[in-house]
Amino acid sequence: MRVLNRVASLLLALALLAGGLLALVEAVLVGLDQPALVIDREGWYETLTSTRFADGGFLAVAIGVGLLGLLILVLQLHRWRPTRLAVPDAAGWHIQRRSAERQLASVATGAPGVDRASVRLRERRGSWHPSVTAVGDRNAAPRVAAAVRSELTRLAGHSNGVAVSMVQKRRVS
Amino acid sequence: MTSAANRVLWTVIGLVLLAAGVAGVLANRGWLPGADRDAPLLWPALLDWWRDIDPWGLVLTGLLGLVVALLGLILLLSELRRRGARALGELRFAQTQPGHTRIRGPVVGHGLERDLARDPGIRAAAVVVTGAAPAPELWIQLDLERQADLTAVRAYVDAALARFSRTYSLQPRKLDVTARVVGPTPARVR
Repeated sequence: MRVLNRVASLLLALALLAGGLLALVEAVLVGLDQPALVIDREGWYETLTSTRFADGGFLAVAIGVGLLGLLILVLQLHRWRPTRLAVPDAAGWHIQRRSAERQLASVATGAPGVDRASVRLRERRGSWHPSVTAVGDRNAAPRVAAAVRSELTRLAGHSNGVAVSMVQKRRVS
Repeated sequence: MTSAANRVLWTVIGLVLLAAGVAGVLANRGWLPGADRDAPLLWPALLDWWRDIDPWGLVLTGLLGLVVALLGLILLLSELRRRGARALGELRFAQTQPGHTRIRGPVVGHGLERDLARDPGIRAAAVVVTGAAPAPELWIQLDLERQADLTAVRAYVDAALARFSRTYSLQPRKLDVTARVVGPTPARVR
């Protein structure tokens, strides 16, 4: 979301710059009695003076604008996941969340009976809480938890509870 | 611009768009006080008004365009500008004997980067030194090998920082380290 916001802001900046300069140039061209560069001088005025608030086209545009605004609001107000997690008991030290999740997932995948695994890390009250979703043998859950706990100790210096959710691998008949 | 500033900007844009959309729907249904749903979007006498104020309408449009373009330029520059505090300037060491030593700010960080990268657990290091001597701020980004022992890496970084402090007579007042575990995932043997 941070990258998306940055790209959107860059595009908005370019649009404002181009639009503003275009308005300035068009105004100068009108003043010099020269033909328009891009804008249809008659067309936009006729469209806006002949379209009524009651028209279906106006309603569609209003709904579209409102939904776009709502989507942007939801995306901005939704809680974003942190890019890095503070290492407990190591002042000033952090680990990039995604790299830690990848590392823990790799360790979980290496446990016997596990086909693949993914990990989500959360930080609460200064400690890390991993949630592992692994595909494979249901009985492998304790082995996955032990492997992840051991790796967590190596990364964060401690190991809290590891939540493991095993998903049975589908058999192809 | 910071991530928080971008978030505020887009929250405001979202609110404005949502309000405009809701107002549009209300006007379409005839529920917006003071708005006639059968009225055109643009005031038809606008053209007469435009001709009456000539040439100030053109001047106003040009100025408005200039303001919008400037806003766009300010936003563009703030997005492209490097964030964060000011980089460390040149260090000067006055000696008792004739002459003095000057070290450019970025060189200080490069020296620490090379020192950090000597640790077998650290694949790459990037250091940014900000603030002012003798108590700058250190921002370190480390790429760690998958099997790196983090306790050993932290001990090595502490030792490297001690060497850094002795070499440049600097006592960092802030240390911010972000480590990233990198390296290929080992292939599984089935």
